Amino acid sequence: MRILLIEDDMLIGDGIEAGLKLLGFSVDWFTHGQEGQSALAAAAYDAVILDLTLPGMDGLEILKSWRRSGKTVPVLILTARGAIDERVQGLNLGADDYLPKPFALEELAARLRALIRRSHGTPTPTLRHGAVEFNPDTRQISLNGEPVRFSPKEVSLVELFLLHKNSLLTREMIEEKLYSWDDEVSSNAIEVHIHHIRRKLGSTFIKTVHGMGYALGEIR
Amino acid sequence: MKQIIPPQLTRLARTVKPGKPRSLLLRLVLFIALLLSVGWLAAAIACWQEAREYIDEFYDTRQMLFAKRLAASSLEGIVAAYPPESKRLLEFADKEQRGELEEEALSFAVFDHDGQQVLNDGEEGRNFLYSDHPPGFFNTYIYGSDELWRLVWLDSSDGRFRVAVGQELDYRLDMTWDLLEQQFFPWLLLLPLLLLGVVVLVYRELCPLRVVTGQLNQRNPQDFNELSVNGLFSEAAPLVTALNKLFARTADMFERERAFISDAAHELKTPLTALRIQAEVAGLPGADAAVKEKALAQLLQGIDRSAHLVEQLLNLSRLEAMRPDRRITDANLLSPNSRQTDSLQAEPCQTGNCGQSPAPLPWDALVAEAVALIAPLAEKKHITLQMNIPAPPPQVWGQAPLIALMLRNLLENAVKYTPNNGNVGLELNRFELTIRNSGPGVAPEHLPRLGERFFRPPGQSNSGSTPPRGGLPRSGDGANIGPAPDAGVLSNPISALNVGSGLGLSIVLRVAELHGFKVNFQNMYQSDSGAVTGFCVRVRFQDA
Repeated sequence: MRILLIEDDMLIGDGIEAGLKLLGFSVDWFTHGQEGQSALAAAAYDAVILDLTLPGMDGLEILKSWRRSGKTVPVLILTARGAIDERVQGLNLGADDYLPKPFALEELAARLRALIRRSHGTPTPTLRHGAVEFNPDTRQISLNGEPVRFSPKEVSLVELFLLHKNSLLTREMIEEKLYSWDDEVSSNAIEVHIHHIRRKLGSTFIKTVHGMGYALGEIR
Repeated sequence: MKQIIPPQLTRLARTVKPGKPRSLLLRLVLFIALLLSVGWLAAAIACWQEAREYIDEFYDTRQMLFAKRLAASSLEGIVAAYPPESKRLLEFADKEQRGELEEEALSFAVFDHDGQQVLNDGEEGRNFLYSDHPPGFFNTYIYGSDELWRLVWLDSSDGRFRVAVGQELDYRLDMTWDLLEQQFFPWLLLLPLLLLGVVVLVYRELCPLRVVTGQLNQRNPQDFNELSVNGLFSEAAPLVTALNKLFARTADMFERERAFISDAAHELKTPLTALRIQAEVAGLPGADAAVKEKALAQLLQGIDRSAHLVEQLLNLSRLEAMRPDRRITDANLLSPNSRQTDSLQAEPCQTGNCGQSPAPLPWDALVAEAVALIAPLAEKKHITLQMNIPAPPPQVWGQAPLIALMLRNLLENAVKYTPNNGNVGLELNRFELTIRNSGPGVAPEHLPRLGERFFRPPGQSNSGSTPPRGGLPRSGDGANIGPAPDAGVLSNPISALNVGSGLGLSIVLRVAELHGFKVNFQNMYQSDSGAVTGFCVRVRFQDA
């Protein structure tokens, strides 16, 4: 899941970026308001973490401009001042959640997952397809109740397919969701990952749509 | 804490003895009683004199009238008809004066020129002793009595007899006393009533003061509402007004303190968040050695940064508690030639914050110290430092530790916000200290807010760490944007010092205020293009 992080504090931004990557997200981090604002259009982000005090452009202004232009991506705002006003204002302007500083990385990740899940219309945390089950909190994949071990990228890939059941995912879309701009991606990385997944979860788990991409279940 | 009383107040206070407060009521009652008694006594004495004179005049007149009448009457016939001592004469006198004689206690005697008493009133008159005193009044004793009598001597109209009419002086005295008694006895009765009235009046008039006292006693320490002056007598109103002013000032201070603590707490949340997240990253199960090492390094930076913030908070809080040192501000107002070290040093410390006595600032040492602190950062950013201090340095009075703090903050800021390979310059002359840098300056709309606590102009709140790595978007329309390729002015951050605490300029302004200096922030522009070439802080020691 790809996250857009707009945070001007170096230590916080760096920590969130590193932490969320370890927790299976791919993160693009911007420190400047305006750059962050236009970055949303540059990639298909699943959620945004937005600090409210930013150089260049106020966080609330960014939020307002996004919502005005019809962007529906889930936005979680970070507030430092703890002022209820700011939170209420943020939520009223279209933020989906907020976290007051200081917060725990785990909580941030959990809230992001919940936001993304809700945006996909899946209220329960566990994602299922046939005998395959995925728990986003523990990032555990199981087949017939038996845990199966995967690399973090492969877990993210399974999660991606479970979130987008019955729809075609092109290789570009998958790369965009799985990798941030600074990740080096080899040309056949996705094929390799899918190969590994099929070996462990069954060759029919992810279907190849020739010349177009991949899909989980029948394409509707 | 030592209580400081201004000299004019100590002078006032000296007239009031220390100890238990004295009762206004008691003092009023005693004073009024004393005043009335003294006044009454004075009036009585004056009245006594007056009455004495009046009564003397009255009775002298009567005595003389009686004597004249007696002298004018045909004494020869009377003397021949009556023996020298005759009760009947009293009857005669009775007829003449209709009983007044007795009341006035007048006695008389008639003598011939041989000194032989030929007639008297049959009472005290027979004891009159003959005298050849010329006609008129004189005081004398009579036979067989210790009392002094006032006699009037007249020669009879035929010249054969001498007439003496007399009155006992004690009688006049009694009359005077009676008169005085009638006059002043009601006053004596009235005095306690008057004092009681004063007591009641004062007690009632002090009632509003007791109400105010009650209000103050029950007052919540955070209640800064004004006390009402309604119903108060005008003498106490200024006290209540002064109290109200004090409340307003205290409320103001309280509010500022509250805001300061709240601001400080919120400011600490940001570094705490960084600490927490970095610690979490280091502890995540998937973190490899490189990630852990980096996270721990960042954790240390975050701790340094928090410590820096706390230190700045403490500095500012200490500075806020200080009051301007008059000796310094005054000394800096004088012309350099007329400054006298002795008179300054000799003055006793009254301000309560004279940890350091003011002295001419050792600029060379102060600047060297500040430069030593910022040199590592400047070196890493390849920033040229130019310190221009004239020799000998100008005489400016101040507290060296505070000026050191100011210099450090100014130079730190200058280096922090100057891009790599830039330069920072310090210049000092008699009138001002100027610190310039070749940084991007501050947006004009933010200049007036510089020095506000925790205010950081946008673009200056970045904290020191590795900036986000750049990259190119793979899709979408924003082809020219990448994740923060350059974190603005902090493109090459080195240490936690590189984190703006948002307090540096507040500290500078406060130090300047304590010294009576004026601080001015301005951008420097290129004359032809109008582009910002740098930023400049001026600290003016005195108005030139």
